[in-house]
This record gives sequence, structure tokens and C-alpha cells, in this order.
Amino acid sequence: MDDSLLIRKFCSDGDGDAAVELLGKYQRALYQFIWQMLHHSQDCEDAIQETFSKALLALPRYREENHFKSWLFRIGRNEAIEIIRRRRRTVVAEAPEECLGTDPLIDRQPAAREVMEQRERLQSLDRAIAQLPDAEREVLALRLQGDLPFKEIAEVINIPIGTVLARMHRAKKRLKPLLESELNE
Amino acid sequence: MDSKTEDDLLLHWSGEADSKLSAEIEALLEKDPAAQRYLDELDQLNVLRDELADLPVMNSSRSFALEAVTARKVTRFPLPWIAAAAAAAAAVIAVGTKSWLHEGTSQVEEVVVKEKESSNEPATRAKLSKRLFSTRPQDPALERISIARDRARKLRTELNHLPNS
Repeated sequence: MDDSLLIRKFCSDGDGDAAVELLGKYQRALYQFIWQMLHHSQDCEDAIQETFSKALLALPRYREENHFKSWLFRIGRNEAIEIIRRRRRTVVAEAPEECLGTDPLIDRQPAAREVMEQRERLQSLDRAIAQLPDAEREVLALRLQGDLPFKEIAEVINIPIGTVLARMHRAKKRLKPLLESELNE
Repeated sequence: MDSKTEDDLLLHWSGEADSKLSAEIEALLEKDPAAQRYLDELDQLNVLRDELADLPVMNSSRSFALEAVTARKVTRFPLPWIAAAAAAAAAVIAVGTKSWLHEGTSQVEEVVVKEKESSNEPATRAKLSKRLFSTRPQDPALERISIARDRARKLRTELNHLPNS
């Protein structure tokens, strides 16, 4: 269903299901974007919770001319920045050991070992992205995970589109050696 | 490749280029291998994104949308709950007060009956009992026992007054 119709159903009729559908459409993308900003599961969940509750509160004031998705991502970005400020936590990727554990069965079963190797590869990719400067990683994540066009990314971050494109270009350039380095380790 | 061309390639890759710019980029890609390589590298980012989407930490099974809507319902509608609770409390208080007042009145009535009884001497114990019983609802069985007891007492009194045979 169309975003504006869902918004109208929620704001005019108080239809909770419409709000669940509306927010649910973007939950995965928003979660992955915020993950790239925070690299911490609990912080990520806190940010999403806050984002959704603030979005529901502000929804009656939402204007149709804005894109709902970029509006929601702007709230999510602000929330993530607030969490970074509040907790003064260094943005570090979760260690693979913490995520995977040390299951003795994985060492014995070839299929399980393949799964583990694939996960380790993904962890390496994630670590490579985590090493990008915040501003570049943010643009990259909004484009890749958020699937937002550059024009809307400029609205979310509130910077000129030229700056967005320059950051994206620098992120792409910097990421190449980082990926090679992480995957060869 | 200059930065203007890189920007144009980014917009083309993102699907944000207008028809004129898209035509220019298509022409450029045919004659410039560096531009084509740049575009291929950008496509690789999409592959990277798709791979990362499978990372467990990038996904959560929780429905934050549902949680947020439910939490909003709870915080948005506390007044009816409070009003309902207040109404229930008021009803309990009203019933309690009425009951207490009723008991108080009965006690007063009982005292008044006792005082009247004491001022109307001599009175029989049966009358006193009857009046006392009349101030509050009684079990019919108890009332019958009481009446029988009174009759027995009267009979005993009358028997005592009979001359010895």
C-alpha cells in the first residue's frame, strides 16, 4: 500500500495496523543503516525503538511533500548520532568471536565450517566498511543499505548534493584497499 | 577522469540522471574504458550490500514497528483506564459508605429501643426480645425458635402461679 495512504489511515482513522505496515516496510533498511553507524546491536535496537516512537508522535505533523522514507531516515540518523554522543562509545565492529561463538561442532562438520567461513568473510567486509571515516560511511550506508537516492541523502544529512557525491566517490576509492586488506588477513 | 564525470557516473548508476545526461553517459561508456571500470566498481558495491544483508547482526527478528505502535497505544490511552479505575473506586467507596451508614443507623435504632425499654418498666423479657428482633431482619427459623421460647417462658410462669394440687 502507498505510504501516503497508510499515513492517512493512521492519522485520520487511528489505524494501528497501517502504522505497523508503514514502519515495517523500512525497518530492515533502517536497521542496517543504523548498524553501519553504530556497530553495536543493543545501541542499534535502542535507536530503532526511539526512531519509531518519535516518528509515530511526529507523523500527524508530517507533510506530504517530503519523502517519508528519507524523513524516517533523518530521524534514525539523528537518533544514532544522539546515542554516539550520549554513550561516548567508540565505533568498533563486534568481534567475530562474539558473534559466532566457539562451537566445537563447527570444526567437525564440513558444511558448518563453510557457513562459518562465509560468516567470517562477511565480518571482514563489515569491518572494512567500519574503518571508513564516519561521513563517508554514512553516505555509503544511506545509499547501499538505505537504498536512498543521492538527492534524498542530501536532504537527510542536510548537505549539498555535490558534497554527497564527493563523499561517495571517496568512500568507494578508500573501500577498495580496505576490502582487499581485510579479506587477505 | 574528472570529478564532474565521476559525479555524472554516480548519478547514472543511482538512476537519478535525466534522459539527456543518461545519453551522454552511455556514449562515454562506449569510448572510455576507465568510465566503464568505474561503473563496474560501483556495481560491485551492490554485490557487497547484498552479501552484507545476510550478516546476522544486520538483521533483527524483533518487530520494532509493532512494538512502537503497541507502546503508543498504551501511553496514548491511559485516561480511559484511569477514569474506569476511578469510577470503580468511587463505586466501592459509595457502597462501603452506604453500608457503613446503614449499620450505624441500625445501631442507633437498637440503642433507642433499649432506652425505650428501660424507661417503660416493668417490661417482660419477651417484649424486649421481640422488639430487638424486629429492628433487624432475622432468619425465619430463628424467629420461630424465639417465639416458641417466649411461649414456653409464659407457660412456665403461669404454671408457677397455679396452686399446688
